[in-house]
Amino acid sequence: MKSTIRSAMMAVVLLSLCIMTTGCWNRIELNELAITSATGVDWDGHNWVMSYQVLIPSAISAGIGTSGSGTPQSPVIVYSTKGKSIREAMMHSFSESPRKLFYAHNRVVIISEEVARRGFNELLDVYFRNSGPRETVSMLVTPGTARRVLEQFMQLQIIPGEGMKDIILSEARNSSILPNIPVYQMGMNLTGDAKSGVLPEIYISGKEDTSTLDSFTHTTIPSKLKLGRLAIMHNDRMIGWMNRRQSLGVSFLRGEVKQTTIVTPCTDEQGHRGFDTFVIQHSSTRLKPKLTGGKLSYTAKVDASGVLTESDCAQNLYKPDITKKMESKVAQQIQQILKGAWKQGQQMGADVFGAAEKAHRKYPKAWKQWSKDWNSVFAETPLEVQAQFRITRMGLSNKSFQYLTEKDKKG
Amino acid sequence: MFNNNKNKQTAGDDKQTGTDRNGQVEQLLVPDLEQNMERLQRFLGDGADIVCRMLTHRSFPNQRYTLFYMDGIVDGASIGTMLLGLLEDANKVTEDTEGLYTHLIDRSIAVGKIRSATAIEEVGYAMLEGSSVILVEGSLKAILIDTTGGESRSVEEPTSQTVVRGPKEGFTENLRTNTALVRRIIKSPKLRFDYKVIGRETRTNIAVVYLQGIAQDDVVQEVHRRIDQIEIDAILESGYIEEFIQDKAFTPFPLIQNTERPDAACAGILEGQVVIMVSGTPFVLIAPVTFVKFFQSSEDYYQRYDISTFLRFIRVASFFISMLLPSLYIAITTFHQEMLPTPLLISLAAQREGVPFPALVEAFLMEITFEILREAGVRMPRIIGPAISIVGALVLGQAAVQAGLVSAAMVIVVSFTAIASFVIPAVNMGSAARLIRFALMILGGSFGLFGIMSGLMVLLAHMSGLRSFGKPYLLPFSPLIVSNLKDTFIRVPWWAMRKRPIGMSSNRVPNQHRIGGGKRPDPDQEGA
Repeated sequence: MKSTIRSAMMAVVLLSLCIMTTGCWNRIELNELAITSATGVDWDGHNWVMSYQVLIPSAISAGIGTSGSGTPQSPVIVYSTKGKSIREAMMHSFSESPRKLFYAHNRVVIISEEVARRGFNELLDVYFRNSGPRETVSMLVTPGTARRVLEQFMQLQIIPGEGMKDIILSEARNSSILPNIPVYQMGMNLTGDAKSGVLPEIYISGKEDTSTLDSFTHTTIPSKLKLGRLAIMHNDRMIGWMNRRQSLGVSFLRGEVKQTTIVTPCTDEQGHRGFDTFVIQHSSTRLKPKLTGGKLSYTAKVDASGVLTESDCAQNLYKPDITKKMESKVAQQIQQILKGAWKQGQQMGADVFGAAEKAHRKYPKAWKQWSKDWNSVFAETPLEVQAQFRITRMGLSNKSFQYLTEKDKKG
Repeated sequence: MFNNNKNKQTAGDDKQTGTDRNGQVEQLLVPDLEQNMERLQRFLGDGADIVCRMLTHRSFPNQRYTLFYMDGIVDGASIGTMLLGLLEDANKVTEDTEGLYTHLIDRSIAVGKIRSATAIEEVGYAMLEGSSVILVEGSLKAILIDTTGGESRSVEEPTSQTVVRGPKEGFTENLRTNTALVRRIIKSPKLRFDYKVIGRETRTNIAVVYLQGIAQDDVVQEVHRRIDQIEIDAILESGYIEEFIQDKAFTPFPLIQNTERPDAACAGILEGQVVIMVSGTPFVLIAPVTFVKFFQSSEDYYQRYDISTFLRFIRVASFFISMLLPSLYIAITTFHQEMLPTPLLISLAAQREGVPFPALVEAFLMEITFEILREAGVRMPRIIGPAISIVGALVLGQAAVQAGLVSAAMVIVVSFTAIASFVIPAVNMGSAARLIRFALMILGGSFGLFGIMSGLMVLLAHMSGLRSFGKPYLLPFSPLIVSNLKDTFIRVPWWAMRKRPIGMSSNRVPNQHRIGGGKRPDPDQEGA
């Protein structure tokens, strides 16, 4: 009995001690956080320039809740700090921000082309070493300064950082030209056998900045953030760009195509030229290395299927040989896209297709030799593409509109 | 009142005089009527409510006798009938000293229950319980006539445990009414009522009710043993007994169930539980009990099993919400902001702009406010009820947010917690969640989710150690009894609950089965 009273008293004392010690440990109230939605990394020649897009919660939720009252306030604020190292630069933020930077909700990290060409090992190190910033943050490259990208407002999405992430995700899902590359994947690619990786480009299209809320009083905003080319990295350094067609080829070869659109030219009986448009809904690529007579070669088997979504030519789609022809045209197109990308990769000396891993896995003994100078081995490796395409549906109308109008003329 | 059958009568008598005696010498009745009357009056303290009627019998003109009773606690109609019988008695009798006494018992008194007593104390205590007494001149024995009655509340709908479907009868303050309500439901000769009297001054009647052969013998004995050990001057409510007989004193969890509903009490009795009824309160105790029982309402068994199962899940969820929600909110917003979706984080952060207190203080402020409102709502006179709801809505609502004291999200958290705490059918389990909530809030505010998890671990260890009359509190989960799971957080259809809960009821095999096998409705088979 006595001991139970004692232990109960102890529990009470301990619990009340807890009240007094709150504020120790890593407790932090919500209004002490500077929630960062995007980070920018620039290099001024000597120092890292880190830029942060920090959310102003009251401005954002005022926009959501009560509309039209008071003067509009910018939902985000952008500021930069400098330092010899990235963490030092981040530390300097304490001397100018009333709140502690909070990276767990950071959506994108933008690195300038300058930083990308200089090398960004340090950035990856910061991401992998610390628990605060997340490795699922998407990485993007911009040709100008990263800070300018952070300063841009976006249409429809109040928080630009979140909007950039939404754009890249939606792009990767619906057109598959540029992949979404989170930090951890960049790290994996650069430490992989090929030591090469890709990053999507984000750029400001338009000359003026959309960095004031006044821009939104017009139906057209002066500039927009857009995704562009594909940056090719080798050994943590950017070595060049690939255009969008080559980029699609990279996506195909990496097996990252979820949905994309392929346009093939067509000619009908009357000699009318037009285009057939297909949306590829399923695609799988198997890249297989083959060693014949000491020479390495690759076979890429693409198995795709999709829907015809637009057709200009007057053709009777009831006829199997016509659809067969259309299918082989798409396959041909895919083949060309893949070959173009492969060639570009070889020229740039960056195996961004994951070919090295495949060779390493299949021929571990020979890999020891190749790994000494994989780029020169890769540069001479031919790629054979076996593309297959199947039309799953013609859409709701089986004959093209062109065909129907032509027929009426004849009748 | 406490002697309803012959077997128990002697036991009850022993008990009664035994407690009285305490070393005192018993005052036996003497042949002198005046002296007896005076001694009885003195014993009872000459109260104005003592009615004394001196009578003579026409066949025994020389022998006087007196009728004594306490006004107000006797049944007026019985007294009237009895008096009429005594006065109009025209039976011819032998003239004998012993004659009037036997004559009254055998022929005159028109009341069912009669016994005799020889000591003033016994007579006095019988009168205090509502018996009428006839003292006969020259006789050494008094006649005690059971005329217990008086004003009592009628059987009404229970106010604390309401159901949509199910019986609307509730227990009353009258023990006899309560035993009758149970008898009316379980018409079994195996139903046992063991009566006891506890309380030196209140002499409260208590009934221990169980089904012989269904309840475990050792549990019944343990209940008796623990009740017999109670020594107290007064028992005013069953809560007194509960605190004396529960297995562990220091625990927030109730170890004995209480109910106002005869059907719930009977369901317990039929599952082998023991019910303890206390005179003067409509709340009866049910023991032994397990944790899951507190999440079961008697209505679960009256409506379809699927909706019952769903509702039980809702109740368990509500229990955890009412216990954990404020602490989780504090922990996540002050330690683990990365767990929140970004738009929610922004919205919460926006609300917190300008709130002067840390989240923990804010939560405490609102929780204490709610507890005050709730207590005020229970205690205040009914008439000023609307006032508190108007003011309450201001204190715990938009006005508090606009005043900049708390954030709107905290008001929602506290209000939802409050609503969730009312879902638990057992009020005492809801109170347990209320108490634990505050401890967890401190832990969550100091150590984040780590603190909450540690708190829950301690709680779980504590609960696994709890016993209710020797039965593990977490039965049938720990120790696991798979066949008992059919009536826990889920309820299977009645035809699938063939056996009584193992471990709770008697394990004599033929007694375990509630229903025969193959009772699942199957129209095809009937047709064939």
